[in-house]
Amino acid sequence: MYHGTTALLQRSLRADAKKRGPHAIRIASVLLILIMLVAAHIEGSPFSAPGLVFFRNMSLLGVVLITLAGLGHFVTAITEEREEGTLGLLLLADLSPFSILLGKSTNRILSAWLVFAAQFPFALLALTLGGITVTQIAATYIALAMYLFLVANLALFASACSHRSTQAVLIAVLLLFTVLGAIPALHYYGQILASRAQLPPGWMITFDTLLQLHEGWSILNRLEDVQQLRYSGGLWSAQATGSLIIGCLAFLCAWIVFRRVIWDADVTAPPRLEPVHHSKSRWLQLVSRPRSAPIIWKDFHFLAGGFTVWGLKLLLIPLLGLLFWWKTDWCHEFMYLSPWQTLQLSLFLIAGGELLFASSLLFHIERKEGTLANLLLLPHSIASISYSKITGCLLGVAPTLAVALLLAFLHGDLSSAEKTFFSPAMVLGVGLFLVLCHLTVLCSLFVKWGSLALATGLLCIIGSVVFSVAGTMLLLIREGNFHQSVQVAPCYYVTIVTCAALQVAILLRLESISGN
Amino acid sequence: MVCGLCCATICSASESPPPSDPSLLHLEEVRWGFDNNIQLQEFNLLSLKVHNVSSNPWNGPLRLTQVLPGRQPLGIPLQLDVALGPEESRWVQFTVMLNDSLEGWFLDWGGGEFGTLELQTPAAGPRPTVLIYNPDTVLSTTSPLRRMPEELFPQNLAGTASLRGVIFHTVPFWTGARVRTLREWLNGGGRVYLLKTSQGSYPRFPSGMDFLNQESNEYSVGAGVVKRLPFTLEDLDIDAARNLLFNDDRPSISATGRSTMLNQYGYMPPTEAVGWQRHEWASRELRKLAIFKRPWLLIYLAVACYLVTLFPVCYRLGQDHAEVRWFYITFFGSVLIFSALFVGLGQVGGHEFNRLRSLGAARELEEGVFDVTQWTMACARSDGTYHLTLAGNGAAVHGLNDLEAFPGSYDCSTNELTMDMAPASTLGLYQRNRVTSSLQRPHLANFEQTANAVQSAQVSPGPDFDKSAIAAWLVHRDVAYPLDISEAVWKLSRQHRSMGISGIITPADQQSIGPLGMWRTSAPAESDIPEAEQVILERIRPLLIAAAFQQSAAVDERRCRVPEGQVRLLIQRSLPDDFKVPSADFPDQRGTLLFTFDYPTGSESLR
Repeated sequence: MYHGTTALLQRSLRADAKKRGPHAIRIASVLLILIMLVAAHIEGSPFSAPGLVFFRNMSLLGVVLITLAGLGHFVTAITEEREEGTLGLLLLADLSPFSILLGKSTNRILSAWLVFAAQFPFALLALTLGGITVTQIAATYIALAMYLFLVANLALFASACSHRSTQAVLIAVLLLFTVLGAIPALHYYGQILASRAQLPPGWMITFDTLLQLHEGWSILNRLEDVQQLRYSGGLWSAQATGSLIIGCLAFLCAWIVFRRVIWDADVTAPPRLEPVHHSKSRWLQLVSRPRSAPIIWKDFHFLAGGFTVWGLKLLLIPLLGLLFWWKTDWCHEFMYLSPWQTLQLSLFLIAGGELLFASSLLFHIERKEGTLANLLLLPHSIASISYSKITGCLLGVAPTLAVALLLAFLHGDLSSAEKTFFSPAMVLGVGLFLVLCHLTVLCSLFVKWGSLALATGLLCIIGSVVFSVAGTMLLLIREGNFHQSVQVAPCYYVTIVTCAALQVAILLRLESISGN
Repeated sequence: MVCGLCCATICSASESPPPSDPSLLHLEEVRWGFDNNIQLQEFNLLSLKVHNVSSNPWNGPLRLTQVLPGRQPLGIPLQLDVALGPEESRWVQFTVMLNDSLEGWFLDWGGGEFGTLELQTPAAGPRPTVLIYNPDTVLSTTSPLRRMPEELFPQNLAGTASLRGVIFHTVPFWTGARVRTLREWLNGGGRVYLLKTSQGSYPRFPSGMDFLNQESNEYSVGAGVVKRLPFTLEDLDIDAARNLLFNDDRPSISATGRSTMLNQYGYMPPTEAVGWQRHEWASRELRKLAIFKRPWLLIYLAVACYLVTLFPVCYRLGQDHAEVRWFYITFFGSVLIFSALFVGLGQVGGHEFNRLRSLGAARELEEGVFDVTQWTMACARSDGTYHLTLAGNGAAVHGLNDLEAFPGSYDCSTNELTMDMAPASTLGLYQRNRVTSSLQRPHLANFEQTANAVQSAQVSPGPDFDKSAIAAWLVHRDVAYPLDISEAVWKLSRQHRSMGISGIITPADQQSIGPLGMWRTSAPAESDIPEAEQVILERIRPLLIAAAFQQSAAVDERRCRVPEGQVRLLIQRSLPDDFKVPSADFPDQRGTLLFTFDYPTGSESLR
């Protein structure tokens, strides 16, 4: 009776044991733990309990990576089948919706748990650093495993509800925020409103109760509890139980939704835009001729939205500004910024989000549509084609970025070279962002889905290993009382070299893809 | 940290009355240091005037915690039990170490709105020279001198760490601990200036302070100096004060140069050779001595075996066997086995005990009494709450780790340190206290010198130093002459050359240790091969010598020399029992102390 139900799962488990990829991921994760451990040991931590500090940092990194995996890996469990048109084939094989869900999602959870299991012995080596117990390590891993179960099933529910991966990611973000972040955010803002006597007294009691309830399943609270200096609790906790229950509920909801929508037609390719003939009734030509820059034209209009999105932005940006000016007190209260600065920050964040989105779609859309090979056949160099695509996307972001820079200039933030080009925080932030964009483009050439999440995860892992060394070097330079230009020179150098190396890697990867 | 208690009656050790209502205790005044300035990286005095507003006695603990912005705790919380009579006001004192001016302090005497207060750290300034005055009298004139009420002069030596000099124009009403502290501080290098009273004569001090009654205009008391100035307080102006009081110990600078520096800075900055993080250095070296050793060879072998088990063993099993169950059985089996193995290898051996490792300097104040500056690292084998009662009295304590809160507290009333420790974790502290010991002072004889150098000297170390000494030096002016300790009577070593004190404590390669040492060790120091203890003790010598010459974060060359007419004997030896911390929780205690003995060169004992 259960053979058919678990057929897909069994097949996935067999593939996990036989394929090279899962073994490589397990070995890589184990080596990562080992490298971090050796680095912590060599550094000679000044803390009284270095093992506890090391494990605390590692578990926080784990939370970040699990969350990113939820948004990049687990969320495409169903939507990738839809978008590739293979969901119908699974149904033809007489697999029930439950077995499909089990096979597609639970397998991924079990694979991730196998990675945890592989890491566990090395995590126990943190005992040699001192300050931590076996119970704390085991309790942390159980908490992370249950958190992964929760995130994976929420992502599965989002995937089951969606037709496209992008839609699934947005729904997953909303679900994760609702389950993990909404109550603390409500409580925080409720406290601010209560301090201004703008909230009825009963509401704050409700928020406090909700917060206490939330702490029951919050992974961060559980980690904080476990990683105290002397932990006397057990391995299992309310967080594990809560995550298990919510995860199961999410799976159940995914099954209920999936049963209803599974018979919907697969996502078909969007209709291609046909050339519009000149007509006397058309008085405004929104899409211009490509003329001499066809690739730029293509990506500007089809990826970045073209003049339509330009127009929308130019309408919405002033409205956003008006909204911040209307609610000046909210800006001061919640953001500790003036409306001017809030608008500026919002526009920079929106522009950054657009650039990251464009980076993830730059070559992904070509690979998915199967047009990459044809694009690379054009009589232009791969580099020229790539930079043209980037230019097209940048044109789309141009209004947001231009208004943000204009506001910064008017506000005086760009008037001083010291504030802009020699500010370590500014240079470091922009440098990291540029590296993230490049890494996202590169990852999109290796994985089908979740390139942004993968790039962010890689950056977090690299950062956690090199951060202490890099931070010390920057601090030493700062302590040396050199001129600010000297202080930021290493940041510039590393950013330029890293971005150049990533661009070379992207071009090489494109060449190898075009060869295939 | 010190607790300078003004009251004698406090809660008894066995039965403490319940704490009183915190709202009934008011904090009337806060005073930092001797002149409301502080010295960074040094113990400073914090004086608090508390007032009981009720008609009933008030008792309870005052808790002082160092905090970062955002009230994040840092360092060792201090507790001082206070008992006040009805409507009584009293000064209570703490001695605290300040690392930088960003830190704040949080005072708590019951919590809530009326039982807490956040104290701001004042600005750092030069080492003060203050006028000691009676607050009950009215000074008839304004004076350029900074003043300190006589009742606030500390009652223990650690509280005088940041003090440069005191000025008397009247006789203070001091007895007991304050007189002893003054004498010991002066012996250690303090400066006392005597002004004429309003009657035109110099103050005449009582028998306990009769070392200030000599008729000479300038004379030495130990390493300190007493100077008589032919002025009354009213006659003293700012220029005279600067020249005669604040900067009289810098004769090497010409008058023109001195006035230029005075005008530019307002005070003479001490010479800074190289800034160095002594606490981080001591902490790093002590941790190497304190941490439990692990079987690293076995651990590395086990790591390699586990990696090989994962790949290629598990990989081949998955590839080659049709039944994937063997892969999963092998995988989970190896995880279980290696987990147990790593837990076993990571545990501390059963033959190990909780341990303390210490290093520091002990300066002889008088026969059998030492001023001890010491760094100590505690390492616990298993988790628990441990107690240390610091040796001696009037101890001032500071946590060595400036990055996290100290998991425990220090009771200033009982000198008891409480520590919550995780297994195989370490906690470091820096302390200064006054210790009595039965150690016999070595005998110095046949001391001959020329105008510039020491020709010969003989030291009979005595039973307490002959077998336990690690190294010894004789310091004349600012030069240290190594002694040959291989013989029964120590003589000047022919094999090792003499060195300047400032050169010893600021070695040429310190740049590679100091700034980097702030965060990490140099490569050979943190390898898995445990260093011989002797190597570490030799490497730490500049730190001990600096402590012996009372150097803090910045090297003050004025303190790098022995006063004229004296010679100083430095002996590094293993930690004697008198200087160990009496604690059943830490049976394994080891360390090293650098003992300092001063001898006048004109003494009969040197012939």
